[in-house]
Amino acid sequence: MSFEQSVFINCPFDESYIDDLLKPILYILVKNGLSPRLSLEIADSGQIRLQKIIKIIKSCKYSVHDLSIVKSKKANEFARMNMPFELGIDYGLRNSDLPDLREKQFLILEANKYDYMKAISDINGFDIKVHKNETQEIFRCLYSWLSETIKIKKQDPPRKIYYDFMDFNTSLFEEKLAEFNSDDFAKDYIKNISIPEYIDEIRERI
Amino acid sequence: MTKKSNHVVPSSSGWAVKKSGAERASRTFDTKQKAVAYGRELSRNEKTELYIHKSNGMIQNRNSYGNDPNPPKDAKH
Repeated sequence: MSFEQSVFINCPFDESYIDDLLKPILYILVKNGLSPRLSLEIADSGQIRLQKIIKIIKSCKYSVHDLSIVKSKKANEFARMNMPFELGIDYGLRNSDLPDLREKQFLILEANKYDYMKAISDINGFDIKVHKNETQEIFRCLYSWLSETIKIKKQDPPRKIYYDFMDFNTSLFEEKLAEFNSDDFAKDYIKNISIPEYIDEIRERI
Repeated sequence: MTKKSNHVVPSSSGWAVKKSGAERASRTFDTKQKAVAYGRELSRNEKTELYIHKSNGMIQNRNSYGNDPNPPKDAKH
């Protein structure tokens, strides 16, 4: 995986986030020849988690930072701070004058427009896009960022990529249906697939 | 030649039914319920499979009206 093609994804790993937003993000990035990198890669290793996250961040030219859960949704629920913390590390590295790292480019995602102004207003001026926690919106966010920032030309339009994503999920389902001979087992496999395996499945079908 | 399956998918104006691999929807509807009803009728007539997707693109249900070696129950959605 080259520095030029690697994208660090800093996001929640809640089940709903994975299904609604992370899996589409992975699909879009791989489809555009990029390599997603996540802290999940290091879940069962003996090294200090933060050191490994920093190692991944240093190895990626691009980053997607999702700050959509910095706001708690109900009383006594804590806002989640890992995402802004890792954005801060990434920003620090970009400004560290270390070779290559000053080229780093970010996409910052939030659920509702200008929420970030209330939680972390110092990032005003960054490329911030709003996904509204909706799958269709994440296709528009990534399309714009890949075009405007990464300068990928002649991308398929967001709706076509969204439909391609559904065809990919159908293809994966059909393969597992043939393997397990059961709709429920095929759905269960896809629901529980690890993120690295999911990325491999996308790569095999692109 | 294998028949193309039909898919109930979200669209910009609600829900749609489209063929596998198609870039455009066959028909669009204001509710998922209407799209599923149309998709079922279409798939019965064509003796093919109907995939009902969730709004996140994942598969919610599969209904087979074709020559399926493992036909599913006509599951609830």
